[in-house]
Formats: sequence, C-alpha cells, structure tokens
Amino acid sequence: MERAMRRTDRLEERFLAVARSVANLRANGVTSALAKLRHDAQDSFASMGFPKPRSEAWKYTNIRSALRKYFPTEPVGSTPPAGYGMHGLNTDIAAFVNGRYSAAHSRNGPLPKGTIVGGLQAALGSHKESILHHLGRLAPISSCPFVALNTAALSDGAFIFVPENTRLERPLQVVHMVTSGVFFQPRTLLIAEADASVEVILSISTPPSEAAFANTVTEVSVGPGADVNAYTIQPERDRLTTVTALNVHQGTGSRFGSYTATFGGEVARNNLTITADAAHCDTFLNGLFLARGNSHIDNHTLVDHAMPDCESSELYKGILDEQSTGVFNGKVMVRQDAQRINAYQSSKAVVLTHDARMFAKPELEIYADDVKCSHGATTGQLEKEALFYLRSRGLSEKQARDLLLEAFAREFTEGLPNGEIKHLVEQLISGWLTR
Amino acid sequence: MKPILEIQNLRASANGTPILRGLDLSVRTGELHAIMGPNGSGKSTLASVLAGRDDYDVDGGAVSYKGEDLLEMDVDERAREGLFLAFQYPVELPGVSMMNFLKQAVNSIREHRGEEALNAAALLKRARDKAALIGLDTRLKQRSVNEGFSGGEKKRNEIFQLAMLEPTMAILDETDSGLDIDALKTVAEGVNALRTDDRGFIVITHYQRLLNYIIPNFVHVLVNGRIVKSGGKELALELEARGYDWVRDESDAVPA
Amino acid sequence: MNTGTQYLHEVAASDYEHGWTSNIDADTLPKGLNEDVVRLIAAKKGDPEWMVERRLRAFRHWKKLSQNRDKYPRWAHIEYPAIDFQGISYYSAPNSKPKYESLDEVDPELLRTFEALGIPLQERKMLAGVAVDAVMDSVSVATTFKAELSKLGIIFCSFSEAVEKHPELVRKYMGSVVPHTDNFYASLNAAVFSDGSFCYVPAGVRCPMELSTYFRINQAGTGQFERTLIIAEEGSYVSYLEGCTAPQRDENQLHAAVVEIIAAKDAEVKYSTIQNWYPGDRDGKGGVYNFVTKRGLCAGSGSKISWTQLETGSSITWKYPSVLLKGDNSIGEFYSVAFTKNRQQADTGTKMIHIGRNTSSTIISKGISAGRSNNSYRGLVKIGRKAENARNFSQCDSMLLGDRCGAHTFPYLEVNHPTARVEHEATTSKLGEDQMFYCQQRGLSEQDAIKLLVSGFCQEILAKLPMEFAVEARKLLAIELEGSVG
Repeated sequence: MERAMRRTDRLEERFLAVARSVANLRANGVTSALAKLRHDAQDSFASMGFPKPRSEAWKYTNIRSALRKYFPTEPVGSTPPAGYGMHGLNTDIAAFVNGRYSAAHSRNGPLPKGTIVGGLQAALGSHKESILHHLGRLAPISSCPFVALNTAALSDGAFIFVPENTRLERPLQVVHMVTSGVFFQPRTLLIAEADASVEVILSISTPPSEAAFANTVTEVSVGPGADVNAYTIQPERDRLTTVTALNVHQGTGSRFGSYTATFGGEVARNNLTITADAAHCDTFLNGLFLARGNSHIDNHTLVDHAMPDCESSELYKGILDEQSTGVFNGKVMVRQDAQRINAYQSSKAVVLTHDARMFAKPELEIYADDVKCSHGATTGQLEKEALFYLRSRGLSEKQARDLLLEAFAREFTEGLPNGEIKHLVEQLISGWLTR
Repeated sequence: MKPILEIQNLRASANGTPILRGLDLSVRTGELHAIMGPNGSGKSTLASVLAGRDDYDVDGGAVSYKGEDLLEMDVDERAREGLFLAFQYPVELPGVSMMNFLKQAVNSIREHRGEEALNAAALLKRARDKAALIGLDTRLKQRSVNEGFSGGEKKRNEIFQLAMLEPTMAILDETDSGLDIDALKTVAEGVNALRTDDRGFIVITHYQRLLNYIIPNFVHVLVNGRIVKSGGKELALELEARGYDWVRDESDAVPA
Repeated sequence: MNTGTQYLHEVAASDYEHGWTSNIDADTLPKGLNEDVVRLIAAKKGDPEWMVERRLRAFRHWKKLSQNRDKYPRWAHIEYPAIDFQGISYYSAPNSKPKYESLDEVDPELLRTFEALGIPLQERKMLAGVAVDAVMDSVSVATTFKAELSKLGIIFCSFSEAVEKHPELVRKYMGSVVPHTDNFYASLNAAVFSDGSFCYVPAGVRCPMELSTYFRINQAGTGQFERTLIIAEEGSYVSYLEGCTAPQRDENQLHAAVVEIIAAKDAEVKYSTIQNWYPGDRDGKGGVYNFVTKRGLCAGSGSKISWTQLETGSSITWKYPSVLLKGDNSIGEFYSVAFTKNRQQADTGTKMIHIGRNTSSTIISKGISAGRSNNSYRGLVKIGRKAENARNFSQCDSMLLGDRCGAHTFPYLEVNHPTARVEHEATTSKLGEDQMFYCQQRGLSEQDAIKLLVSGFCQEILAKLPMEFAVEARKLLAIELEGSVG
C-alpha cells in the first residue's frame, strides 16, 4: 500500500517538477500577481493530484494510466514542426512556439484598431488589468487538477483581445506548437468585449515523431452582446494524449458556439465549461468524435445556467470503430432563479465493432421550475435496412457503410456556422473514412 | 332575449403590443354572432381575453357577463358561470382520461350551480348521448384528453364538451380550421343542435364556409382590433366574394 | 401569481397521515453495534449456526467499511449528517413473544395499528385475495392465507420461519443476488437483519393471489433491517406487493433493507412498492433514512422481473431496484413515480445489467418535486460484451412544482456491444400553462387542475400496479398533493 502511494506521488511529481522548472525558466519580468497565481496553482495541484481512478468526473477515462507512459521533459530547440494549423482556409494565423508568440510563423492581415493578437506577457504592459481580471478566473485552479497543472507553469501564452463593437472579418487560427519534449501546456486567453465578433480555430502541433501529452487551457470571456465561435479541431494522430479545457463566461445577450471535432489521439479528453452568467445568452455546443485503433475520446461538457432567459443547445455525435472507446458526459445545470431556460442536449453514437465501446452520461441538474430541459442519448449500430437498401443498389459494403456514416456525421457539419470550416471538416471526415 | 355579454371599448395587448383597440360587442340569449376578419386582426385574442388567458393584458374597457364584471373573475370561475371556449388548438393532457376529466368538469360546474354531482353511470349515459349528437367516436372517450386525436377529432371533442357542459355563452375559436367538408358539416350540425333560446354563441372564423351550415344572426368584421362593420348573414357572403380589403379600405377612410 | 404557486406551497407543506405511534410493549436491544449484539440478535431469532456465521462474516466486513470514511456511500445527490451507527438499536420486537401461531395471539393494539394503516390482516377481510405478511419494527407479526398457498406448494412466510423450516432454500439463495459485500448498507443488513418475508413459488405454478408485505417502524430509536427473498422456479409467476409506514418522530430512523429476487427459466416476478415512510416535518426534522438494496436476477432464459414503485415517503430515499439480465431473452422493467416535498431528498433509479443475448429492459421514471425537496433519477444501463441484440429504452420525466426544489437526472449508459440499441430520453419542466388553462376553462379549480395533471403525468406508472394497489397509490398521491389531511 505504501509503495503504491509513493508510486502515484512520483507520477504527480514528475509533471509538477517540469512545470516548475518551465515556470522558473521564464519567470523573468513576470508580474507578481502572475507569480502568485502560479504558486497557488502549484500548491493546488500538489494537493489535488491527478484524478483518482474512481473519481466520478473521470469514471470512464483512466487518465493516470495514460499519463504513466509519459516522461515529461522541458522543450528544447526553437524549430517547430513543419506543417501546422489547418490548411485551405482563408484565415489569419497566430502561432506560438513553446508558449511564446512567434511572428515568423504567424500571418496577419491588418487588424481592426485596438485588436491584439500576440503573447500574454507582452500584453501585460498595456492590458494588465483586463488580463489579471480573467486569467485563472474563467478557469479557476480549483476546478480541475489539469487546469492547476497548466497554471502551475504559466508565464506566457496566447492573448487575443477584440475591443468593443469590433468584428474580425476572417477567422483566426491560434496554433500552439512545441519544438520537442513530450509535455506541452498551451494557454490561451480570449477576451471579446461588448458586441465584438470573432471566430477562432484552436489547434496544437507537436513533433510527429515523438509521443506527447498536451494539457491545454483556453479561457474565453464573451462580453455583452458579443458573438464568439470557437472551433477545436484535432486531426488523427497516434501517441498523443490531450486534455483540453475550454472555459467560457458569457455576458448578457451574448452568443457562444463551441464546435469540437476530434479525429483520434491515444486519449483525448475535452472539458468544456460554459457559464451563462447573464440573461439572454445563447449557447451552442456541438461535437463530433471519430475513433479507431485504441483511441479513447472523452467529451465532458457543463453548461451552467446561472441567470434567466437563456437557451442552450448541445449535439454530440460519435463513430467508434475497431477497439476505440467513446465517452460523452454532458451536464446541464440550471440554478435557482435561472427561470425560463430552454436547454436541449442530444448525444448519438454508432458502435461499429465488438471491441468498440460507448459510455454516455447525459445529466440534468435543475433548481428552477419554469424551464424546458431535455436530453436524449442513443447508442446503436447502423440501420441494417439502410445498409441492405444501398447494397441492393450495387454499393459495396464499405461504400454503403461510409455513405451512412457520412450522413450520420452531417448533422454536426450542418451546424457549423462557417462555410469554409464546414468544408474542411467534411474533407477530414471523408479522409478519415477512406483511410 | 336577455343580454348575456356586453363588451365596451375593450383594449388588450400582448407583451406591450396593442391587439384589441376599442372593441364593442353585445350578445343576447338565442343569438349567434359570427366574427370574421383577416389574420392578425385580433379574433383569437378576443376569445382568449374573454376566457381569461393571462398572456394578455387588458388595458381598458369593460366586459359585463350576466350583469357581472367578467374581467374580475378567474378562469375557472368564468367557466363555472357558463362561459365556454372551444379552443382553436385543443390542448393534449397525457395520462388524463377523458371520462375523469369530464366528470371533474361537469361536476365542478354542477356544484357551482347548486346541482347534485352526476354519478358515473349518469355521466356515462350523458356522454354517450352527446357523443352521438356530434358524431364523436365513442372509443375516443377511453383515451387521454386530446392525446393522439386527429385534428378533426380534437375539434369534435371541443363541441362534445360544449354539449356536456351546457354553457350560457359559447365561444368557438376557429373551430372550422383544419376540418374537411364532411367533418365541418357534422360539427355544424352539432352546433346547430345546441343552439337554444337561453344560450348565446360567438363563432370566430376566417372563412365564410362554416356559415353556410351555421347561419349567424349577426356578422361582424374585425380589423386591427376593432369591429369595423356589422351586418346580417349576407355580409359573410359579401366578404367571401370581395375579400377583406374593401372593409379595411372603408375603415381606413373613416377614422374611429 | 404563478400557476398554482400558493396551492403548491400548501401541498409542499402538507402533513403525514401515518404519523401516530402505537403503545405496544417492545423488547428493544440497547443502542450500539458489536459482535455481541449480532450474536444476541441471532440468539433472539434462534438462528442456526450457519446463519450466525453469515451474520458475523457480514458484520466483520461492515466493520472494516465503517472504519474507512471513503467506503461510505457518498456519491448520491443527497446530504445528511453522518449517521451514528452506535446510536441505533438494532433489534426491537413488538413484545416478548416474537412469533405467533394465529392472529388471536397478536396484541390487539398491534392489530389496530395495522387496521389503522388500512392493512387488512384478518382473514375475513382477505376475500379480496391478497395474502399479507406484516412486519412491525423487526418482527414478522402475521402472515395470512398461508394454508391455502401451501396447497399449491407456495411458501409464503416470515424470513425467520423460512430459516427454521426451509434452511436449504435460504442457504442456497440468500446473498446470491445481493452478497454481503455488495455495499455498506447491504453489509449492515446482512449482519443485523431481524426478519422479513420469504416467498418460494415452485415450477409451473402461477400464484393465484397477490402476496403482500407491510412494514412499519414503531419503536423510537430503532432501525429496521428486513430481508426479503423471492424465488420463482421455472415457468412460475408471482406478483408481490410491499408497503411501509413509520410514526412521526423527531430523530431520523434508519431503514436498510435488502430484497433479492431469483427468476428461473420463463418465470415472472412482479414486485410493487408503495413507500410511505415518515418523511420528516416541513423543516426536515426527523424522518426515515431509506437506504435499500433491491435486486433481481433473471437467471433463466425468458425470465422477467418487473419493479414498480411509488415513492412518497422517507426523508431520504436511496434505492435502485435493479435487474441482472443473465438469461437469454430475459426482460427487466423499472417503473417509478417519486414524489418529494418539504425537505425530502430522493436519489432513486435502477440498474439494468444486460449479460445474456436478446435481453431487453425498459425504464420509465417520473419524478415530481415540490417545496424545497430534491429528486434525482440515477440509473445505469450496461450492455455487456456478450449481450448480443440487447435493447434498452429509458424515459425519465421530471416535473417541478415550485421554484425552490430540484429535479435531476443522472443516467449512465455503457455499451459494450455493437448490436445493442440503447435509447434514453429525459425531460424536465413545470406543469404546462396551456394545460392548466384548458382545465380551468372547463371549470376545474387550480387545485383540481394540478391534481388531475400530476396524476395524468404518473398514470402510465400507476397503471402498472395491481388493481388494489393502484387505487391506494392514487389516493396516496392525491393526499400528498392535497396537503390538508391529518
């Protein structure tokens, strides 16, 4: 028993030590407020540790055993992997190498006045108050050990600031890259002020030859009346474990959409926490996950309705092939006095093989009475009748199957508000199917 | 011919938008008033306000019902005093059996009138008689209220309830909508059979068609929340032939 | 004012009808639990040695669990202060004579108690055809219709009697579905259980009447730990009813029962519960902690186990009547209405564990929350790796009556086979304003409209109860909604 304890301690220590040394390396010139946040996070992580195997929030994902495979090191060198970000999109790109903004890898058109796309540390001079007001508050270190661990090494990251009444014409890709090392902790803070409008595409890039663990935290503040879309696209990649936190607070009358497409990864865990902090918010959470091999994809969402007159709609679709595992755990919370909430959630999964598995846990926790909330969850296989029909028209079994799976995924792509991104995701889907 | 309903300068709005803008109407026993008008003129609002639906705010005017202030009464009080609304969209009550529903409704009203409650057998007999009157499939009585009923069945069920509850003032809100010609005739026959000297009717409809089978004593045209023209049954035919635009034009020409 | 707000406040504050106590001499053990107490209970029951051993084994396991706070069941969506397990008396019998040969020997006060509860013990009242086993505090006081049933080979008796007269059956099946290691309260029960009901239906026999057990906690400071064991042999059928009440007391009383059902090939067991333990007063003082483990095993192919429950009582309800679908083509069903008001907390649902091929399960749960109560559905549907063509349909609807209560849904769907079809739907809403308006336009008062619509909401479930019980259930629900009785 004692030995087991020591072993787990060593796992936490392994990651915390790297986080500490990364933080120390870059500590120069960082404000004391940030240093305090970091130290609090180190303490917080040390006391929480990684989730225990039986913890309810990680019931279907044994993240400890996934993490045991990784021996974190600090990144060295300065050359990021070639071929990063999403191709074929007319976007601006903000690239970050080992956490620092890299102008050389970025691509910007002229940005509207007051808009900032760059590094967190650099922006601390001009936007200190705004940054300290949101950083570590939208994603509090107490919320999850992975957020604490990310914050424990926090010294720089991406900072996107879109001022009041400003609209970014083109989507912005925020790409975090690491030059080497298997432990990678990207951080992004996006502030959209009142009535601002912005679309961001979030992705990471690690050296393809190395196994890697990426622990990403993205904090988004959606100001009153603002409209923000966040796309998280993870292409198929072996030997990559990701824990991705997206924490969002919405202001009055705002609209926020999260569109998550995950095409694999050894373990991919997406934690979405949307707090509708003000009245008349609209929230959309759509997700698609396609898994094969031993891939394990876990989508964990919380929509927290704290104020009245809001609507949220959630749709997650999954295709599970070979020995893969899918998890959907979505919770809708309606707090007392958050009246007149309409919340709708749906999760659907297709299990293709005997060895694939799907776990769904759709939850409603409701403390206000004037609400309309519902969820539906289905798991099954492709309709035999439909397969037969297509084959009777001359399609091969594989053709018929792929056609039906594409149709199944379409409900997700149809909901994508950006036509170009929709096209890209459709290509990724058909690429995945034909592999 | 006693007055039942006296509406004076009634003004009502929904979410701050005025819908009824000074409506006058008076109904006596034995009379059947048809209210016609284009979409959005306020026909259904009138029905809802009279029945006491709280989605609408009464901003002014008065409604006297059997000499009492109708607007002061609760929804169920109005019903017990004999005001019946046949809904444009009858509501489904899952798990609530028709017979249990009827029993509670009939006996609430009887009790209010100081009459003895009907026992199950008497209620069943009455239900059988009234169902035959309007051609309602008696099997529907086995089911939950309006659940899984077709559009026509729902409308017939409204008239069936009218027959069961024997109101003083019956308001039919677009009972003809969604009915084919055969169903329309049956419903009309039912309504005609229920026209008595001690009962008043308001029949709200968009089309003249229903009035071929239910002959009104008066026809009123409602435009923009006001009755802009009243006449006999021939007015309905004129509206059928000429549409609503000419009345609208006339009313625009004459400021209220 | 909101739809029915005022009435709902009245409903939420209504009183408990069965809250009186009976003055019955009782033989009650001092508070506290240790091996000696377990031995004492065994001695009082006249347990054979093998049973004493089982109790002690369970007690030792429970003791280990109780020393580790992590092993306390804490995952449910309920809150309560830590239970002082040494502050409870683990045995109370209505008088010094624990067994009765006939009703004439029973304390008349006791009979009056059951009469007042509407439980017809006397055989002359039994023409309706319900065989009753009544359990007061910890002891089975009377079983009716025994002789008639025995002609068919059906054994229906108290658990103690079964231990004495049918030890081979009890030894074989007790703990086979809910082992003493299953969970904290199942371990506790296995150590200190005092009585309960036993039912055995031989192969091919269709039990001609409803079998019924009524449970009542009477003595202050006692816990009730009964066990029920139902065995349905091949091709048999039995419908079993359980009802319960407890007096109004300021302290919390613990009820930790275990129910086990075994259904052999093509057997069918229908188990219905009306749970009306004392729920505590309107401020949440007192009330029964109802921590119950109920599980059925569809052991044979084509077998069927169906749980139907109306839960209106207890300050805390924690129960998940479950079915292990082991036999091919077996069927599991769970139909539930849970109504909570005042400060009640309910965390209830089911587990459907699909093991065999072509197994199917249906879950329909209706939760109604009023006052400051919290009402959760928690359920697991698990499709195992060999459960080819398994089917599950779940529907969980919650209704909120008032703006200070909570309604929660926590389903777990675990699918390990591609041929499975698992469908889950859930909704949460308040009473429809259109529906209220429609009823009131037909002359129903606000109160009557609410009652009518709520009973309509539950109708689907109540219709699954055996006729007699359904009537009682509707009345109980109406009283709960009425809020003025007592």
